[in-house]
Amino acid sequence: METEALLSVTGLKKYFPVRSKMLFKKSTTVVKAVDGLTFTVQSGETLALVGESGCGKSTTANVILGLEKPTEGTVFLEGKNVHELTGQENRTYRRNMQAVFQDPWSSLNPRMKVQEIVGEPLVVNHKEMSSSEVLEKVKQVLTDVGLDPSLMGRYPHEFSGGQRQRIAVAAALVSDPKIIILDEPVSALDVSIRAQIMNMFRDIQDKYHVSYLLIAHDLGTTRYMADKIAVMYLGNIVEYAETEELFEHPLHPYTEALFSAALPSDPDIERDEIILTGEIPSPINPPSGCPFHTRCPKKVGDICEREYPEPGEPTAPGHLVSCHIYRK
Amino acid sequence: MDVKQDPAVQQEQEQGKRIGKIVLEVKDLKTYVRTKRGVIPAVDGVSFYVKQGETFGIVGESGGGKSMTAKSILRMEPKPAASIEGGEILLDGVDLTKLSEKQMRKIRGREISMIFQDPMTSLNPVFTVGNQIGEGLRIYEGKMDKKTLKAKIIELLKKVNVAAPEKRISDYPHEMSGGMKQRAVGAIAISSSPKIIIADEPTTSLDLTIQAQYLRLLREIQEKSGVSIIFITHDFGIVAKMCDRVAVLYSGRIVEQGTVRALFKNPSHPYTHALINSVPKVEKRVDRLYSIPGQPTPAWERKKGCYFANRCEYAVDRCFEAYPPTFDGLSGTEGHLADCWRLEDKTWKPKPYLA
Repeated sequence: METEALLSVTGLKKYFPVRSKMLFKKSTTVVKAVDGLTFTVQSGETLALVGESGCGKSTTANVILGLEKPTEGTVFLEGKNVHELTGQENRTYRRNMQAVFQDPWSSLNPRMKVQEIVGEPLVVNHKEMSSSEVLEKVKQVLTDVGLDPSLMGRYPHEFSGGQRQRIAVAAALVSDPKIIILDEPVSALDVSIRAQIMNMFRDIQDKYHVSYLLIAHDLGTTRYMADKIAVMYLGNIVEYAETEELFEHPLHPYTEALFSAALPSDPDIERDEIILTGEIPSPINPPSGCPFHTRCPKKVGDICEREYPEPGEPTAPGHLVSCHIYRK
Repeated sequence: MDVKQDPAVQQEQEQGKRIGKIVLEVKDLKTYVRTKRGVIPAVDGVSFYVKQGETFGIVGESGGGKSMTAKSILRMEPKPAASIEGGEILLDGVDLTKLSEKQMRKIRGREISMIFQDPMTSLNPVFTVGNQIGEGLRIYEGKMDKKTLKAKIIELLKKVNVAAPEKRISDYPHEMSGGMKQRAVGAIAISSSPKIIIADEPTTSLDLTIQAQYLRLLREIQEKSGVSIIFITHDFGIVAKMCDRVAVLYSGRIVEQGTVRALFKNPSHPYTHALINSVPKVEKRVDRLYSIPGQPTPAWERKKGCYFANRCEYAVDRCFEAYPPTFDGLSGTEGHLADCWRLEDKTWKPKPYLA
């Protein structure tokens, strides 16, 4: 893309072997959780991965974080291959990438005080920092995420869901990361708290110039938070575009169906729902050709079953769509 | 299998009006929960009614009292900690709060049935779908021979649009697709021809396209059977899509209720107004979401006055002194109610939030 991307994922595949039913027999079947993803995230921007359960969003996040090794493909962060780092270099690089998860009730250690949770990355990675420096930094990030630093001597159970999510963000921010992976960061929170937290994420981004890789299924949330969106289906990106371009001109039949299923924000809005027939096929034995052809209401013909539609830019530059309708 | 209804209602429906007379009326319901922090009014004087064929939404955040209201209607409030301390629940004129447990058992499932969260997993994997649908029928309709029972099950499956019901009847849940399972659960819910279905966040755990399928199914069921649905949700999108009227709960009280259109077009209580503006829209990117400061005050720390006052940008001194009365006729429509002191001034309303 334009300049060198902060995060650059190329041809990423992650297959999981399925345990063989026969004891001692080596398994030959695999679940194709992620099947060839290519995308980039620029510095300071938010890319959202949207899709339904089982489409491979979370596996993608895990591979990028280095929690899983990719079967194929590469993940580069600031020009370095994340999966080839070792030793000290690995530790230094890992700091640049942080994660905030969905459930703020299980992602914080209940036996640690807030100041310990938030300060721990500094204690581990910045041994040169004195304890008063660590405390200073902890206070600063807590203030930035909207928590009163005077509460840092408390334990997680003394906080509400929204506050806990703020603590999780503070713990991610304290290492000055370049990118934070947000895996459904607001879906476990109450409606009135969600808006607070989403606004906080945007303020933090403005202040720290950090990038987000947002994993979400709620389309309203992604429209509010993301600069660019990749729509995933069965381990593939079927459409990729800037947020407003995608919402105004969805091209892929799956994106259209997904958007048509979104709940309205007003009772007067009547959408023509595109009801998809059938089920999401199993990623163990994904369909040949286009992964969506089994359910696609706009199938062109045999070509959809035979050939994988290479992404193209039929309408606008930067708006990629993998569909034979738009291939001549 | 048709819902018993009086001729007037039937006539109304034939004229294209699907909403009939009042089926359920809840009057000043109070359900209190005893905890180690004292007695908590989980439902604190809630009044609403539901008409036949109507979808009524109860919306609010966790701790608002939505689920406790639903449980109280079924008299399934977690006893002995919780108990109904006042009010009436009138189902076709019969006060459910006065019924014995034995009498209630005839109401639950039969007159009022319930759909829980994640309807896909609420089938028993070791029984056939036909067996599970028939279970209710055998209880509700008494003994019948196998052939009649089978015919009735098939009829139910047809009602929820299951293709080839004769074959499906002997399927186990794992042999069915997700959409089919949803339909089977739907068939169970209407097997007793209930007057009311209470749906407690039935689509919260579902994917978008599956949610759309399920909501459509509920609509179909309602159109075919004329059943009333009480939708319990935290999602204003579901309210906008599914409901006719809605009540907004905050800390155990209904702070505003009325038709869905009235609430969306003219939200009168600052809480409703703020909630609607704090949800990001799919249709349009807003520059900045409204965010309600703070969080609901726990019941044991509540002070006198309006429960929302400490988070309300419109609060005046009075709001901290006494709980406001309910004002009717807001936005010029009868039945649009809200509890807010500021509404004493007939021209007042929360100012539009400019996004």
